[in-house]
Amino acid sequence: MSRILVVDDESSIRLLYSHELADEGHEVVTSANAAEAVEKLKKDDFDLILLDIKLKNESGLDLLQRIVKERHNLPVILCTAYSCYKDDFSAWLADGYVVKSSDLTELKHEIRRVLEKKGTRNTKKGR
Amino acid sequence: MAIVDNYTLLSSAVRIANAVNLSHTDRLESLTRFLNKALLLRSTTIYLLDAEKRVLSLRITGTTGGGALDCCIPLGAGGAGLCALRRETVFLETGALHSDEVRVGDDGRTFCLPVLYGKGVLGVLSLEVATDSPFIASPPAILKDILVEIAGLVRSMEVTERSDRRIRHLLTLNELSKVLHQELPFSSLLPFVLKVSHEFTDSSCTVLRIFSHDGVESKVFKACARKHRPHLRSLLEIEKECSERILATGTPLLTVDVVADEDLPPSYVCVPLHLDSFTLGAMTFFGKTERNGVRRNFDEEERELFAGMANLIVTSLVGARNHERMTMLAAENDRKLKELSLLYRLSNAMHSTIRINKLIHLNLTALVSGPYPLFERAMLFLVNKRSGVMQGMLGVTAEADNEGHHAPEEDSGDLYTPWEISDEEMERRQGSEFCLMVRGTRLPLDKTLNIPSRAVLDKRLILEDGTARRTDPQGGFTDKFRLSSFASVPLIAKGEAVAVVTVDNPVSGKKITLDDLRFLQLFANQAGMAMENSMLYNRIEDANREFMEIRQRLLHGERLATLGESAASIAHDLKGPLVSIGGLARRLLRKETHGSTEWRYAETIVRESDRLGKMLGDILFFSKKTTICYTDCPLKAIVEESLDVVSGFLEENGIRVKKRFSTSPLQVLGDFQQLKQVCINLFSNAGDAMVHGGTLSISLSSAVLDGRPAASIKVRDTGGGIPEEILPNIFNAFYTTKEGGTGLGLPIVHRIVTNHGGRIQVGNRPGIGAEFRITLPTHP
Repeated sequence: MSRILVVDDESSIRLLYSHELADEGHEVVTSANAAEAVEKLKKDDFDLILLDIKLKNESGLDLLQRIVKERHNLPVILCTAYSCYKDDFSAWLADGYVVKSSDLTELKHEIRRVLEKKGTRNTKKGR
Repeated sequence: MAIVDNYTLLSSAVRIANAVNLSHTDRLESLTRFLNKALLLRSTTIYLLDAEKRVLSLRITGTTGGGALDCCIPLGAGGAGLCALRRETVFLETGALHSDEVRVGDDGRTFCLPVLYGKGVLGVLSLEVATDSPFIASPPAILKDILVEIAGLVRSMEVTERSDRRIRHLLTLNELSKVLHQELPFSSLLPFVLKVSHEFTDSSCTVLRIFSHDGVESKVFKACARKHRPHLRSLLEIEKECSERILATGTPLLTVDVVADEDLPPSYVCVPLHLDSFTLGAMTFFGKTERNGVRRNFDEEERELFAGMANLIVTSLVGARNHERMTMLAAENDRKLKELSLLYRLSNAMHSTIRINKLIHLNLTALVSGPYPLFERAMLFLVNKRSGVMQGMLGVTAEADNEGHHAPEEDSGDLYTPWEISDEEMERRQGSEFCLMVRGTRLPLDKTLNIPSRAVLDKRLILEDGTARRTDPQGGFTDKFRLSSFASVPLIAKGEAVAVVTVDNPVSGKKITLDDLRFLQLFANQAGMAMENSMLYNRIEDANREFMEIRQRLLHGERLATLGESAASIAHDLKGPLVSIGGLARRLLRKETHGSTEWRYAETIVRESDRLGKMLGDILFFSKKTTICYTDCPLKAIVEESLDVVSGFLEENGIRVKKRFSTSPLQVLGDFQQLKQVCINLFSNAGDAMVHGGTLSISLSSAVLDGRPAASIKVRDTGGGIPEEILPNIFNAFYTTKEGGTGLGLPIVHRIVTNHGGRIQVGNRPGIGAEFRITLPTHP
């Protein structure tokens, strides 16, 4: 079981993700904006962040940079409606990139992949 | 009769001298008779000196034989001559008198008394006295007074004579001016002037010389009395010499007492023909002869007369020349008017239309019609350099035009009326026999074969005057149109001879003049320009049409681009809710019993949201600049994966997939996902075209693109092809003919392919199907 922080300005997406990921056995915490997310990151530990690139009036990429800077171990998967940011320089900082779709198969797959990678890294670290 | 007293003598003499009803000569004669009687003399004579004061040339006596007679007593000869020379009374024995002196007896004496006037001598009064006369020793003293009377009389006679001569001269000039006041061409005026001048004077030989000037050669006209014709050469030599002097000095010249071996006239006068300060020529009059051994020369008065005549002659010459110039100018004016009229017509023609056919008609007709038709026939051939022939287009004749409706005649107002030709008229002319003959003629474009070719290839006007006809190796052209003397001129448009016009005058056989040629050249320039204009105009019209189409397309594109931008923003905002709708519906789908009504509702929501999601994805892809993530892309894998995506849809529509891959693995460097997108879009499009089944053929092969190794993907369907009218637009964004399509499928394909440095070609087989061939460089 992992703790996942979903940062998205749309409440319906937050609802969908939290229910779907809970079904997958994850503990999901949601944030509607960057400030709230930062607050929650300070209070709790998370295994993974699902981050929307286009938040209301702010860029998810700015938040991504901040997270990478402060919590460089925390994996981030970018979730966006655009496929074109994938090759964006800033987007390379993220561990995964998923184009939003109502079919969450790809997202779930990506979460598994990233968490596994994290697990391996932690194991290596622990060792 | 006794000797009368002095008083009676004098009073009688005065009375006689003043007898106004008598002529001067008669009075002198009467006086001699009176003196002879009154003084009981044997004879009484009055001798008068000639004008040149060299001889006593006239004797008047009332005593013997009577009357006035010519004589010639040189100064110093005999009694009278000696008296005139010495200006004093001379006594002489009668026997010693000059032969011309009057004598009655052989003995006796003769007194000669000078008739003086001031210091000059006018003549001599000669008295012959018998030996028994009371005056044998000396003449009576009263004669001194009588001599004064005689002098007055002689003087008065001289004055009268001179004034008579003056009047005669004036009359001569008047007559001359009347005669010269005739309208004669300059060339025939000169001989006429000479003839008249010769007749009006006592000249025995008259020469008129016009000096050379302004390139005019020196001309000499002469009239000569028969008597002097043998000496004409000598006279002309003299004339030439004095004319030259006149040309230098400009003043009249009088020469007297010419001494020569030949019997030449003793004097001549040479007068200049002055025009302002310019000496046009000279006239020389030879004349006066010897009479009774007395030389008679031209005198100053005659010189003046001739000078006056010269002035009259110059005036008449100038008049004639001006007249001639005026005539010439009038003719020139006439010609200019003719040219102007034609040029006006041409210019009218040029501006009246841009239809090349009509232009040709108007221009060509201008040559053979109007108040001053220039030629009788004109034909036009269009040049086709590529096929090397000249095709006859139009032939017009002057006769045909006269039958026509317009041809403005003579009325100068018509010069300014616009010139129009109706389509019916054009058609009528094209049906004329001559025109049909021209239209049925094709000439090889070879300058060795015909004159029009030479005009075209040398780009210049050529006049054929008929002499070279025999040497025309291909008589076809000249024979067919019975051309003998004709001219061909090329019509030059944009530096190229586009047509050639040939003109001639077969009916009248009138020669083509230099002026005609000059005008023909003018015509050719105008007509060439008109044709050039017309061609340019047509090109501009084409360009304009094209421009309007492009503008229309651009406007459309611009609208679409604006639309696209807002669409992208909307698409993004729609995507979020759509994802959650679809996602939540999926959750419902999982929870509901498969096949239940709720399940079907949820399933529909999922399917429709997926479809919308794909459309939004396309819009978002197209509206953002994409970068390529280069990886090695095996084309086979791309095709297979793409087929996986669309296979369900293809199967549903009963579409068979035929694959033909090259044996060697094909690989390009590119963005796997984007290339997959290309294939998915192409396969979906093909599927959309074959809703009632068909075959989708996919082949992969190696290729070459711009000389570099490449690979190509060919996608062919049997969906009936793309309608021709939409073919140019298939790659334009948002252009769609499909219900529910975004119009982005092919534009995305196009963008991805071009971004990869590749090329896309469409092979359309209407009624059968379409083929898209994508060629991608293996290393972009």
